[in-house]
Amino acid sequence: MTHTLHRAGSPPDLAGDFVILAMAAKGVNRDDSTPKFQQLAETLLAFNPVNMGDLRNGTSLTTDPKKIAKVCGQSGIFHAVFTDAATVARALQAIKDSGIGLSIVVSGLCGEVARLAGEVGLAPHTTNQSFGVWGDTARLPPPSVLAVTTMCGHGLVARNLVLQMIEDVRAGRRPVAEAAVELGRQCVCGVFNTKRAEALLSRAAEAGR
Amino acid sequence: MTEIDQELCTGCGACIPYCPVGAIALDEATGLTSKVNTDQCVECGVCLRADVCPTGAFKTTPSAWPRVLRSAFSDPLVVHVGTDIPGRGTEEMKTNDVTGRYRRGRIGLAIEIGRPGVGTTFREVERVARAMAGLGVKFEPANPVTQIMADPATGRLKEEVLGERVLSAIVEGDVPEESAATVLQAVLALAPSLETVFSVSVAARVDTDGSTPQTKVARALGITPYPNGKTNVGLGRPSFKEE
Repeated sequence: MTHTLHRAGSPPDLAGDFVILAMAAKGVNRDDSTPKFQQLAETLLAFNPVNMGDLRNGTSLTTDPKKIAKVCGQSGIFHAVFTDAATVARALQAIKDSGIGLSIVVSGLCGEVARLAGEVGLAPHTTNQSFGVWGDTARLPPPSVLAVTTMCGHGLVARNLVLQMIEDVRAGRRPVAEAAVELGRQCVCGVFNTKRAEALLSRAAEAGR
Repeated sequence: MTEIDQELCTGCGACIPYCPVGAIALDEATGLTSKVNTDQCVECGVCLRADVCPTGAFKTTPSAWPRVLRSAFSDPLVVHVGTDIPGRGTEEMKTNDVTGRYRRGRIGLAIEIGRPGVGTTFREVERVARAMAGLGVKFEPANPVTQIMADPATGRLKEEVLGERVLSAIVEGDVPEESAATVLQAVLALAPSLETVFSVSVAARVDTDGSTPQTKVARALGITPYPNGKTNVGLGRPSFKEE
């Protein structure tokens, strides 16, 4: 699905939000692809992603990432989250050099991702863009909450939990890093960016003071 | 179906904020225990996995058709039989460098009803599907919504599924580039009358000069796309020959 699309936020806020996703195609290159996913996970682990996961073996927020890297792959998908462009460029170079042949999708600011791809000699093949949210938008939470909830494209991070975490941080009941992890562990794919969440929660808590 | 054992629940309320659709609340009559509103519950599994209940009061039982669609569309840990991948979508553009599913001149459309975080019934999903079918959109056969259509030519869903609630569902297909704006216009025209929200994703092969066909479609509609998106960087080994 489009689970790493539609992440809400302003360009400066999204500048530190990248997801590298790998996928094998059913009926084409998925059979026997498990070792390739494990190789990829090891490669990406070296770049210290803030989160990663494959939907079957937990995420960095629930399971030791080294363990995930050893056993991942059966689901035919893998994700890792990064917070800066330079690291993404180096990670892409490493994936390219490994020649594993899995499809690689990078989510992030479109212009920046195109620039990074060019930097490592890759020509973007296909893009997917969000044309926004429509319908009864009065049902949506405020933008400060939506920026957090949309980091789980499957919608598993509840708006009320975000509000509670903001309130906990504001009241000094919970450190912001712990609040970000509590939200992120609801996302079973490992695409929730905890570092970005920390910044968003801190800002929202500060605004409420 | 997910429920809370009323004998075990202490009414502490710890689970309440975790529900993405707000289906858990303290019992209105007594205020002493929490209850799941099973009509509103989409069976996403968050309350079970969150593991915040101090007494282990959550219990779940397998659902029969058509209620089983709730978890199939809302819990990404459930693998769809039709797609063989977890989640409620398909491989779409993610493997396009390998499959060649979207070729130049075609635009992939995915309208996700209920996203972000509002939820939907299939009745609303059907309205979107019918609008798209009326303009000749060919629905993606592997998509889970297509698989519950009674008639993919019209976008009509099976009658018995219409009242089921899910976190979101994706109506997905592809159209010639020149038709994309017209189809999206018809979908966007539904916005004022839908009882939920929907997110619109537009996928296309990057042109040889590096430009993206979505720009033209967005301009025709007067829409500014989000600045962020997904880019398949072309590292997969193709199984097809470029035309």
